[in-house]
Amino acid sequence: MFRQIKVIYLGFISLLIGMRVTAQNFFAPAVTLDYPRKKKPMEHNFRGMVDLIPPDCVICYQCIKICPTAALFLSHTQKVEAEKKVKEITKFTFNAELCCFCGLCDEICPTDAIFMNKLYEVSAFSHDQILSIDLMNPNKYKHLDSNYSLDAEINDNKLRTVGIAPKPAPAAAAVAPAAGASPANPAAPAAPGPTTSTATETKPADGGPTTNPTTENKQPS
Amino acid sequence: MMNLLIGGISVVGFISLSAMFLIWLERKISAHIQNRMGPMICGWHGSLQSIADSLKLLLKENIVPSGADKLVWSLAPFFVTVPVVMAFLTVPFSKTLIVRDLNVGILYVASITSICVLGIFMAGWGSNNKYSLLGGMRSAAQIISYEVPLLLSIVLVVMEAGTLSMQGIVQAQEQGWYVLKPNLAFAFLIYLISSTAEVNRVPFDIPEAESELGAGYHTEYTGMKFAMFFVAEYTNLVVVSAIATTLFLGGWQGPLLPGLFWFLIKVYGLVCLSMWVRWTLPRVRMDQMMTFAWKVLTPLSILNLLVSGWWMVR
Repeated sequence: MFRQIKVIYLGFISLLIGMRVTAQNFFAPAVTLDYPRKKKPMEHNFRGMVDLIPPDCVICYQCIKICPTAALFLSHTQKVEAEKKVKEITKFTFNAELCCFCGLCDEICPTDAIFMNKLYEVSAFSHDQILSIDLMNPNKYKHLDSNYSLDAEINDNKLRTVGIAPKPAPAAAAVAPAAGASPANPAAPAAPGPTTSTATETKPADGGPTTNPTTENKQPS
Repeated sequence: MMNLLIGGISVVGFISLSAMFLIWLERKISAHIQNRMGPMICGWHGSLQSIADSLKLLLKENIVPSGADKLVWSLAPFFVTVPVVMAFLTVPFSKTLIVRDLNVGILYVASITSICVLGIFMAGWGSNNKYSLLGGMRSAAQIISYEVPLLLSIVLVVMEAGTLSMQGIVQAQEQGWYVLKPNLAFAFLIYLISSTAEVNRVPFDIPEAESELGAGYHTEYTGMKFAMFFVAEYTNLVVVSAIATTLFLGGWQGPLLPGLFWFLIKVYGLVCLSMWVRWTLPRVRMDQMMTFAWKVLTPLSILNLLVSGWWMVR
């Protein structure tokens, strides 16, 4: 009899504990998003679709050479303008079906003209729409995401690209001039931009001059 | 006669609006308890979702299962819905807003809501589906079992107030709500538990256990008939909350605000409590539920009744 009363009492207490847990969760913020209307911003190192800033391209063919799946195609013509040889892109396409999203084209590009944007809704209605995407077209991904805007993606990429620290810590910035002045740092002379220099000099400050020049020597356009 | 007609029409309007509001409220509360958003598309925070759903149900095809007992099957939704609507006859919304103040009000409500179980069993039998039949049988067993402690806790209130009239019970609580007295607070707890079982809600939702029976007695219903079961379920919830408010929480009495507002605040507060319980607790087993009704709740309420009776005549 006493045991039964104890069981009922403890059961009642456990009910109250459960009620407290659900009440706490009721007032906690929701973990899901109102998805199609509100979207989560991607991380700064997210690799979405390949995107291009056409005037920045110097037609060096580095991206074509490094692409492991041959997803990029580039052709150009040469012509003389005011007694000067000028290269002009005739075709620059991107095959999203072949792409493995490794980001090597982004890393190798000397002028940061080619980059990976933050587009993650990449489904299309047919194969033709993603087999050869014209990278010269500023509205190239409008058929995948109607809110796509090249300018916004370029801006986003400049703010938060791979290899550039988005927000350098105050302590690292204080150490940076001393580390940049030392002759043991090979990366420092090739980094004229203020954002890039901060990024290259934070690493010698804590590790030494073992940075990867492919990633770190990018000049901001 | 005119008074009854106007009362009936306004009660039916109140029931449909409140059922739609409660369905939306339940979806939002369950969503927020589970850290989700709930319906967000139709209207402000999905507030028009229930209207869209009821329009969809109105337009749906009425499918009669082959081998169904057609008369019983099509009468069942009415047997579930009509008693619930009729129970509003004696519910006092405010001092003057009551359709008919019967002198046997609480007895009338208790007897008319018992008809619901008949409709549920008819639905389970007429569907010609083993899950529906199981759901109907479980519902009959459960509702009849929990009727006993429910009525025993109501008897205590009647003893205290000395009247069966709903308006009389409210007026008897002018000095203080009955829930503030220890023996009646215990009766209120018993009433809440048994009424949860009475309206087939979690943790006593064995008759319509989705994971075991696939919605139980209303598995085979489509369109408007299904909507009638749904409306009856949520209106039943309002009815038991309204009776609890009238019997234990002082009915429409309260300071400053008019009586109608106090009544609705108390009723929907109890409904929210019931929803909170629903999204917290797991379902109990059939034998646990019957044991709890006959071996715990009924002896406790009889003991409560005896002790309180002795205290009154002492």
